[in-house]
Amino acid sequence: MTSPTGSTASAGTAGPGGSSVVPDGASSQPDGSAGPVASTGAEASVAPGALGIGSGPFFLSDPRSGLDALPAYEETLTIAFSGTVDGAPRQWSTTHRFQHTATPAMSMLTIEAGVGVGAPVEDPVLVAEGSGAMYEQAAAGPCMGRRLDPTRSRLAELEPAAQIPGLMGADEAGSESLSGVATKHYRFDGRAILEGAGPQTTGDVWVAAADGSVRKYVRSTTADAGYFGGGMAGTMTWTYGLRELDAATRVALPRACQLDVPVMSGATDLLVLPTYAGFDTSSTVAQVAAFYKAQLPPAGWAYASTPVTSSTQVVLTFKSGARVLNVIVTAAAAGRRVDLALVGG
Amino acid sequence: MSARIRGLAAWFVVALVALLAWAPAPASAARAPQISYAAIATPSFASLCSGQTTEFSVSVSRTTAVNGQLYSAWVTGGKVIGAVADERIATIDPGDMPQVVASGPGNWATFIVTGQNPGRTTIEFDIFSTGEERRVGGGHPLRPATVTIEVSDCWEAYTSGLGTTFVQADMGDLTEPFFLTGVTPNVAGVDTESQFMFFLPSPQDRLHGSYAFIDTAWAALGPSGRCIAFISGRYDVAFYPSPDNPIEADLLLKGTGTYVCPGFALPIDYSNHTGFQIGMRPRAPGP
Repeated sequence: MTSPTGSTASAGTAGPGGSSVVPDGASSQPDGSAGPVASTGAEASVAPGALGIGSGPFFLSDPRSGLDALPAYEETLTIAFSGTVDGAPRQWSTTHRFQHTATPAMSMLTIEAGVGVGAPVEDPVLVAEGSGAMYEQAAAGPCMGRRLDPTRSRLAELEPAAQIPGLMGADEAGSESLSGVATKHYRFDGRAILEGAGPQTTGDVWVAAADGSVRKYVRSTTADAGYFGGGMAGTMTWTYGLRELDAATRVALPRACQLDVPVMSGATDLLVLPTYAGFDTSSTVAQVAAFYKAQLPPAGWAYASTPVTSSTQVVLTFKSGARVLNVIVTAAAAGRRVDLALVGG
Repeated sequence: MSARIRGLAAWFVVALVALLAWAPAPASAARAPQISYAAIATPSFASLCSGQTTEFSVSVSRTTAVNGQLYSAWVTGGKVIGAVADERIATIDPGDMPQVVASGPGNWATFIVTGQNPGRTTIEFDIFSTGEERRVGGGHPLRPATVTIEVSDCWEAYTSGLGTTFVQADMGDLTEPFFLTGVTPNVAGVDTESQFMFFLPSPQDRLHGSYAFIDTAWAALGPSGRCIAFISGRYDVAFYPSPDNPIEADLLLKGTGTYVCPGFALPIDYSNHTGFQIGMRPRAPGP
């Protein structure tokens, strides 16, 4: 899925991770790279060339700057609204929490139920990608797993950093340390997001001095229904935070989403679903059997039996309450196929 | 013109170009952004069954180009409209009325698409208005979003070579992993779910895939009581009378395994021929 953020033209004086500081009077070479196929029929009341952007030196083209280099991190985005919808008072907030680890590659977005009057109902409440699958859990429903197509990542759009607009011309506001991370603080108004007229916007952003990642972002916009749409008029605030996690952090999906079993290193064609996990491996049948005999008991699975031991197949069974986990290791033309299938419970 | 004069003229042109390139542009030109808008639809592709519905979220992003860098933001307050290329395959609701892109956690408008008949078509989501015409002006390039819809008949298992009575029978459209459970009546007196089948379609082709099969009440010769079979391998899908217009279909399962009975175990080898098959039929349309 394409995110509106993150696209960067080749030219420019890019600083760390897509942010840049543009000196006053620098030459401008606008890049209209988006492919035009139609024009709006709405009457222009403001000539584009007359538009003003912020007067400060800080430009942020990619709010995801630096994130890909972090081994593990958590983003939170709280959106709060206070005002009216079609004239009726509304006051609510909702929080999105996004966790990511690079190894193993796993991303999970959880959406906490909105609180307050008229809070939006968001569904699904969990979206995760990793272990060869994409997982979605509805507010009132099972967790569904599908094979992941990396070219159609849904989280690319839903990640909190993707909600932060690019900034054009924020003002310097000093240096600060946020949770031990040296940052530069910038302040902006509506001009930095091309909204200098109409809505009233103020905001602050703290960018890590080392890697250009956005560590904190706060924005408040007061506007009418013409701006927010949906009959909403009032003040909306966005509060974003980024914190690094220990590299050994493991993003734990709800038990209903994923069969919680260890996977051998070097596994290929991995797929983990709510009641099934499978992968190919170059390990021998004996090595696979030894791995699961060692790894499953600490995870709550008591070894039960080895009902099958042949030259082409080994089956191990483990039990946890009424649930039986079958580990089926089958010799294949190239390596071994391992199927972990949950039965019962 | 002499070579010397030509050389001087060339030098003059080079110097002029260099001067123009060096000279700082007026501040107003430096701050003149170029703006374009794009509709962005999620998901960008959907595979669904006839009669099934799915939801598309459509947002509008504004991209501003300044100094060769692009700055993007979601915009709200505008409207988008969707149109299906072939309404025999899928329909969209609302289909003739622009939807408001409202602010909030999502910043999008929502459309419901229903699969009608098997086939492949596209939906184009156009930006009807950006919501920023009065503030930013109009006449900026607008880019629609085009998504692909693939509608298939969906299937359910109803019989097998093992005489299975299916408890979980839904096979979807055979493109995503599906799990079947069932019982084989009159085997060792077992009357609860005893067969568990895990099917993993090939990502490239719904006509093939791999499976794992566990039958805790495998029928065995002799009074040996209840046996357990563990089988894994590959499967093929055969449509009848033709893949283009199927009325029925079979999953043909090949593989190897073992059935384990009290006191003995025997290998199962279906590696070169179909060991057993599962009969399936189109599922009644529904969500």
